[in-house]
Amino acid sequence: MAFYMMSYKSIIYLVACMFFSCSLVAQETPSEFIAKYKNEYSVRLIDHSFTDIEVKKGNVEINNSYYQKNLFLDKSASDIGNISLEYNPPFTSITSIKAYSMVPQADDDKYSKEKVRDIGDKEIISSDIFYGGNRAKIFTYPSLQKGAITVLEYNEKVVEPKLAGSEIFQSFSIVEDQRFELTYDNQVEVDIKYFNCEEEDFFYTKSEKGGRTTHSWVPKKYAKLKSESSMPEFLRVMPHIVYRIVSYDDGEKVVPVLRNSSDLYAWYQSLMTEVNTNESEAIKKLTDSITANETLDIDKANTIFEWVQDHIKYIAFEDGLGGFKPRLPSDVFNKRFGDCKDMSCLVVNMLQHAGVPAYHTWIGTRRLPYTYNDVPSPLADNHMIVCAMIDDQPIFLDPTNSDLPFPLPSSFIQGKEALIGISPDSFAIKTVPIVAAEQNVIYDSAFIELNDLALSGTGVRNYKGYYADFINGRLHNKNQDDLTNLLKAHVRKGNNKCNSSGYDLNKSKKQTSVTYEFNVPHYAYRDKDQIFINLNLEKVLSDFKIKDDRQYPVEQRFAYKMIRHFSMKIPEDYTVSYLPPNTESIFEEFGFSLKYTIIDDTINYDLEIEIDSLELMNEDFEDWNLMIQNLNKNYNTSLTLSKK
Amino acid sequence: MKNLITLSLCMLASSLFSQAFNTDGYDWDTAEYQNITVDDSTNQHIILSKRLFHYYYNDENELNGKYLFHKKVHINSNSSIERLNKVYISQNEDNLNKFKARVINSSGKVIEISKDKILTGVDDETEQEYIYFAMEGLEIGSQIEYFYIKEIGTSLNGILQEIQTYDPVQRFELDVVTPWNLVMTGKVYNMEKEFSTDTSFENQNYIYLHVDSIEPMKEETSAFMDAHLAKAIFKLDKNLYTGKNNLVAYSHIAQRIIDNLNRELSKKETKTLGKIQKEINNFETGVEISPVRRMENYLKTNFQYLSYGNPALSEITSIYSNKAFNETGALLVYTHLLKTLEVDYKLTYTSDRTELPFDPDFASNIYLQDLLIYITDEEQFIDPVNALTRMGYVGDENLHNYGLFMEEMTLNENVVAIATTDFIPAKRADFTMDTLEISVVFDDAFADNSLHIRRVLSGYTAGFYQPILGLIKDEDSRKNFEESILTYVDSEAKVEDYEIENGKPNLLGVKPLVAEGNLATNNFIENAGNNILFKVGTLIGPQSEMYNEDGERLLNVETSHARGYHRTITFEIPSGFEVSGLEELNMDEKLTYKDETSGRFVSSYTQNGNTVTVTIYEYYNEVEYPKELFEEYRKVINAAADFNKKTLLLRKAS
Repeated sequence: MAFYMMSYKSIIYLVACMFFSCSLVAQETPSEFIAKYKNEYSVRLIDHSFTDIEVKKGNVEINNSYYQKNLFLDKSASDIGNISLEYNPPFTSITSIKAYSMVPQADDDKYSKEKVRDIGDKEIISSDIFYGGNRAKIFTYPSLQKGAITVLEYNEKVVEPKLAGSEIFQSFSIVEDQRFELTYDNQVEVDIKYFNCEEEDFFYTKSEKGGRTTHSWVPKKYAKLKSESSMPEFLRVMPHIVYRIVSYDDGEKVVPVLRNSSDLYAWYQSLMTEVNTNESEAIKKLTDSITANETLDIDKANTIFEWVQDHIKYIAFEDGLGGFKPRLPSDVFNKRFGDCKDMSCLVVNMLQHAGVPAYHTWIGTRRLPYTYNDVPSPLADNHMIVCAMIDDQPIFLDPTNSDLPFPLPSSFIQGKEALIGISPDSFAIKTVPIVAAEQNVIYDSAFIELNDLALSGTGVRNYKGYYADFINGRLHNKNQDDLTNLLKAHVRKGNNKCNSSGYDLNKSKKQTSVTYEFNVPHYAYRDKDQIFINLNLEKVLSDFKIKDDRQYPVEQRFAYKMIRHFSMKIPEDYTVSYLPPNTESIFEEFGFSLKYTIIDDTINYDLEIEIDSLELMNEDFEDWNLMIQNLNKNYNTSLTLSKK
Repeated sequence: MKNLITLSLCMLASSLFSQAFNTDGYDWDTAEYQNITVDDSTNQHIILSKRLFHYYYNDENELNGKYLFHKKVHINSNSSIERLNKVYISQNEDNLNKFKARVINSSGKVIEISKDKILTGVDDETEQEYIYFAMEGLEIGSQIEYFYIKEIGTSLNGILQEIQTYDPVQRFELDVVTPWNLVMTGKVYNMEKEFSTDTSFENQNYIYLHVDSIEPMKEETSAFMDAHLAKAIFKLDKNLYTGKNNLVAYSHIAQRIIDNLNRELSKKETKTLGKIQKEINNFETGVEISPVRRMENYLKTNFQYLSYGNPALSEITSIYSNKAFNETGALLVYTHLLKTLEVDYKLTYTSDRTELPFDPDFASNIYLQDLLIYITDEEQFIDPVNALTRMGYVGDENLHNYGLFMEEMTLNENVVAIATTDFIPAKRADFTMDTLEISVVFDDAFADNSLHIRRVLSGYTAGFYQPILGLIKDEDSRKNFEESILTYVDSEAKVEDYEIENGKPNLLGVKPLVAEGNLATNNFIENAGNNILFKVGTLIGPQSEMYNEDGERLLNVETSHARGYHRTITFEIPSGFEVSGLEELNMDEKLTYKDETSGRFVSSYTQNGNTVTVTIYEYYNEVEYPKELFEEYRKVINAAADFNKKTLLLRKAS
């Protein structure tokens, strides 16, 4: 029996809630439910979580118990029917699962109960982690049909106090009744933080009885989470609470758990001992040989980083403590693969051998909204990188992306705090810089001639910074047809009649460029003695209008700049009778300028678009749309040539 | 009949015969093949792809099967490392006899993957079990190699093996070894090769297919590539002990299916069926429709098809209480209801022609992929398990393909299956029509222009929207989806107002889907000083093109379905303006096939005072054209893409 793990009070509460909720549900018939929620796929009727933190025999134990009722209304909500309760041994375990369906009866419009019979327990393969050691309790609710209700109760035990905990108060479906209750012994110090919400958003109570404290949260209102393209990561918009065990009194002394980032760092360091002392002659030999001709630290760092990028492949192993503890650099070096921890530790090992100051560094990607100050716990980070000091300036290296240009940080850690391990007992927290727009550029320049009504010319297209990463990632494929199709799509000018050829690809990690020839038959329009040509040969961002009812900010992977420079020779027997006006829309974080100039017998077209922000905020949407509107107006403008 | 065969298979093992062939001693060097020179433009080169099927009798005289798979690949690119450094083998650990994996790097160093590195797990979504491992020490120039032997079932009514891939294959081997009495036969597709027979094994039959230097498949547009990959199928042909030949025949398969369906219903099931029949009679459809359609609509509205089917879902009372059926359950319900309605039907099994066209000449269970019911009087098919289809409108991958038709007949109180294979023709273009009427409204200053659009869809184009419209519950998503029927002509246009008619799944195949509304957009207008360029061609929406496909065509042109478009664009020449360029709108490209104009793009205009009407017809009557007609097909396709770029000039009248 697993209930022994819960406090007595929680049990009473749980039973009371269940009784209360059951009687509520029982009042409504299947047909009433179906009618009430006719526009929903599913409804979370009840979602109660209880967390109980207790000191037992000098250790802290966390027991979570869950009680959930979901109304199934549409077969597309199949996630309600097929349940996979994941747990991560040895840190967590799941017990006492009770699950049943409440099945509508056609005859009397009432519910009848049907138990879940087979509950499997299997090791899970996940799509993003090669080996996570995760297991899951797997089962399917019987007789799931429109109007059916699934009921689930289970307990989860967490044995590592550092892994506590969080509760989210939003979902893609309607939630009717959500409650989170956190109870702990008074000798445990718990820190509670609100994200995307505050205490006022809840019916919140705090009570104390029998040496235990209980907090209870019930949201005052529920808003369904809306899914929008390029929206911020869920944790950055969903209201949630993070609770952290700071310390506890084991009866004799106060045992620190995670009081602050120093405690977190001390724990991380305890997992690094073997890595820190790992020595490999093979690694040393290789490092010496690849850096033999380099004298500057920056060049050594560059060479070592690119070697690891090119030779070690990312495969994630995150089973048990392996989720936090890197494997030995010597093993990673031999196997030629590793996860982020493994790859970054190998880079640190090689850099240190080459005499470049380098440090193991923990970081939360942009997916996580926490700082180490607010949440000094493993919840605050999910990634490991390298911080190297070059001429006393930190650079942040992430070898998991084999195309990332040195020394840019990964785009998904820009602006995030990094926990840098200076020595076993000292660390620094620094913010990773946001890479400026002018470092991430697509520059396309072409010389154009008009032959009859066809445009033809030669051009060069250049990708810098994160754009080099982007294009290089697609150039790994050696299949000639695929490569040609890719380049054709990238350099296309005018319309889909454009035929390009003669590609000369010059690929490097920092900058990739391709020269090309192109021809667009029948591109210009002739009427009598006049020829009309639209020199907006690429309508960048033309379809990026933000919808009026957009709810969330628009996330961008990185700040960027687009430059197009086209020069067209004016045919000998023509003059320019109409040149479109120059225009610009410049706002604080984005803007464009478009210029037409005539120099001798050439018309020059210069377009520059700059987006200098990682997140377009709602208050910027109006300006953004004004910019796009102006851009489109000018994209729909042609110049006119008239016969002399 | 089936039992008899199984029994005779078991009985026949004879300890007198020694097993001349065995997989037990198989190791790295058992297979013989040449090493290769790698063409640097390939991502990877398959050096060896070997599969061996070994069937034998065990000590209890039961037929057993073992499967050997051996693969060796030369890695030639980073994308290949990333693709092949993790290997997943769908597998139940229990029946794996032997497994070895290794990496040979370019200097010849061999790294064997030790047993403790081999992991097992279940895919969370599919619940499929896998063994899996990571290849260590991989670099460009490395070779990965692994083989395994596992126990397999002994169903011999058709096993499919793909020979060709999108990478070059140096050596392909398929070996099939069976006991003396079981004689196999095989067929090779999309390659000029045949299975060979080797009689040198004592008391064993051995057929094989060994191929060297297989070119990678080269992709072409408008062709279903997977269907053209070279592949082989083998199956049991004769049992020398019983003397029976042609053991896997469509007539046997049909009889088994019919027998299975003709089990006697329990009293409870019969009662439930009556209940269902009553509910069908009361089922509100909103329009006058035939009893068969009413039945189909009722079943598809109320019952869910679960492909992973729990066996209870083939039992009628359980189907009714769960509101769900598996394939057998669906068939049982449909056929009993059809019998009650006294409607003649034939069960039909066919395949997905885009992957594996049905072969009427080489019977195999492999082809029985999709089940349809042919309603004889209506001359239409029903797909009983796909809720997004309706009678007369079934998956287009099942048409233009052969199928197995099964009819029941009672002979001497026995239900006998009459099996025939027949071609299922595709629908003609007039079945899938997309009719678009656009009136252009110019603003005086050309700053706020709008379009009035009426679009009428039928057949497969309607099928993309009609069955789904009624199912989208989220209002925003539904609105976006509905608006997309109109904004397909201009994805950036703003929908001012719109109405949808017949947007219900039950009207698919009964009434066309109609969308009508007003769009605000200036995207079809370009300014050029005092002149206006009216991009009239953009109003037919984006068009597919084949401009740059001028190389040699290797495959026939294949499309999902025949289709037709009828578009009318009307506009008033704004007062004070003259229009020029109209005569450029007259276009006509044709494709002649089977003594008719089988495909065509024709556009023309008429002018009546200031009113100009542009009319465009486009259609493709066939789903397959011979490759020799590719150029003509391309011209018609490109004519539509050319029209899409047509521009008129509006010039201030002088």
